[in-house]
Amino acid sequence: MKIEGMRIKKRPYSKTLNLSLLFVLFIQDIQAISPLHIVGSSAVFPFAASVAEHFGHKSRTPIPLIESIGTGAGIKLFCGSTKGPDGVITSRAMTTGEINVCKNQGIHFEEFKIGQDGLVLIQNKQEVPFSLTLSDLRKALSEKILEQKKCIPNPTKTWNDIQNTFPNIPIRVLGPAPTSGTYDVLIEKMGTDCASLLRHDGAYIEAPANENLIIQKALNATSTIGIITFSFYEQNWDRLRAVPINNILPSVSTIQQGRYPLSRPLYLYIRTDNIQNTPARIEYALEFMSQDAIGKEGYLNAKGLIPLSLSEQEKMRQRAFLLQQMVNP
Amino acid sequence: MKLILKKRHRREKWFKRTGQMSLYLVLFFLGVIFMEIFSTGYSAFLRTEIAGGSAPQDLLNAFEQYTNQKKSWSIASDAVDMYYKHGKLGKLTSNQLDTINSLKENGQIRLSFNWAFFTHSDSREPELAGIWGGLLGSILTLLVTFTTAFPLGIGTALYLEEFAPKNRLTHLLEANINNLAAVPSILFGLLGLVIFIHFMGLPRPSALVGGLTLGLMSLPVIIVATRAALSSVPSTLKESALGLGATPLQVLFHHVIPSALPGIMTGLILSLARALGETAPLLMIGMVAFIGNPPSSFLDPATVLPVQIFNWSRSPEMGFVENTSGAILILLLLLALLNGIAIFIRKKYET
Repeated sequence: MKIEGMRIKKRPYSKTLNLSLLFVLFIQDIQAISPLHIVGSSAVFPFAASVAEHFGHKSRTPIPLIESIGTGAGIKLFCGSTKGPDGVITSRAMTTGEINVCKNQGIHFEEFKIGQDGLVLIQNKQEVPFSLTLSDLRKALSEKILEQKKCIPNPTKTWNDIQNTFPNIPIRVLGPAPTSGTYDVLIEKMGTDCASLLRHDGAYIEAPANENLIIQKALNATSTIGIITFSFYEQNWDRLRAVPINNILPSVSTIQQGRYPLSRPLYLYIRTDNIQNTPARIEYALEFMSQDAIGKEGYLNAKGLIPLSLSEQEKMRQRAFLLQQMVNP
Repeated sequence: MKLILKKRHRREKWFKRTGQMSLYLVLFFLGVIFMEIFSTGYSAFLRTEIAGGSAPQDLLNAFEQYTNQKKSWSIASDAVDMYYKHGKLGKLTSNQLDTINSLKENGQIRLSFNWAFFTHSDSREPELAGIWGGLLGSILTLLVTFTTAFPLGIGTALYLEEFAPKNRLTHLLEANINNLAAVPSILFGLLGLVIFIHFMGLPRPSALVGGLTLGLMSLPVIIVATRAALSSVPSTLKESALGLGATPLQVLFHHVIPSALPGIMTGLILSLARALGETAPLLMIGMVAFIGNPPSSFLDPATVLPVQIFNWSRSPEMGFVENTSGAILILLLLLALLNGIAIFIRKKYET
């Protein structure tokens, strides 16, 4: 009896299940308009995502998919196979080795410089103001330093050990982890005498890739310096004090002119092979290079991107236009 | 004699007190966490709106410029939102502040319920960002997880518990399954990356791959829970049914499974709840992405609610702080709902 009852009872399956079953039938259609896929640096991610959204709203096409997996991993995926992503965003230029890997796979691409970014050393406003030089940073953070032509483990404990005008407080710096491109840039900029690593004895604390966390910690712990990117500094400037490097404070103009020592360019690489069938790639690049986005009053500036100089902007825009003319001559 | 009794009583009292203290401590921490999340998160459900045409473009949401239609109230930008809700200055210039203050005096600025938080997908503008895409992604992912892990898990458990011979091999299998249930979830992410994406070539950040990976993760848990439920069925029940002439299959389907069902369902729902709150394995298979469109099929790029929370917590805009807490509240609500269903099923069928 019970089994019969079960058989008669119809299962009211959920609406979502019903819908999704329907959609599975039309996978072919959906894949035809699948969105662009851009991968790469977490430092460029907020900008690329912002452009993606504006691009989607303007052209009424699906919003491109932006994946934040880091510069190195992004390039690997981009150059790995022809079925890979449509573009890669990086916080450094591609190396010749990476370019060769790409070329060998038959992947052609165009490089766009999209702007500048700066690393900002921050401290709580209540703390004693600091001013550092790059060599101070190297002495404070390198794992090993050169002394009498020998590499020895970094002996400095307090800022006072580095220069006697500095206060006598222990060195404590919160910054990016070795997996991030920011870490590489930091080491590249401050230069190293011995090994290419930052110290591990507690003076330099590797924070996970969450800059809000670094800000929180720098605000709450005493005499701690945090290292964040410029866009995060700009959003929280009223609570933080930036540390001048070589006596230059980070600002839009100092970073744009390249005077602020801890600045770096940001790039977008877009695939150009088989471009006739994928015009969306060029349209995305055009949107990225447009006056609306990286121009003087562009929405990326509001997000903390430091724009290129006007002549460079024009050059990049031309590059995108040329590509577009290849598609629609 | 009396002294010993006193000592015993004292010990009992002491034990009880420590238990009570630890309970209160746990409740206190829980309360603090809830208060923190709620006090930062409730404002995500409100948004600032400005009367149409009364404010310059730079105080409005960046996408208002693309819509031509005239609205009586337009969405304010996140900087205005933060200032109006919490008095945070952010990047507002003194000119903009004056405009906002005059809007306030004229009553042309207001707070209203943020429906967009539930109907919009991810956005880089905090005032427009919503949980719909993440929620739908979570639902699709859990559907895949359910349809793969449930039959496989139940089948494995039934076979191992009721039919498999008890020998070295099955003991080894059993130990391995118990081990797998305790393996860190990120390893299942690696497994999913290698099998589903590199080997089978399924589309990268899709609900299908996410669901299959979470299915792998919850499989051992479901097997262990189902076996525990099956073995708790008294053997007298089975033997009497067998004695009356039922075949082993009949015994299984007419007696063992019905009486083990509450346990099985509870284990299943709890493992689904765990899958719902999981982020780590999904990081490995590329679901940590900015996805502005809600997924419309299992193969579309999708993200899930916990990953969206993770993404928001890394964003520089101040508005995302409250969005993060708001989304956590919704996720907690969903988890409580799932656990509630588990308790309901257990209570209903237990007798």
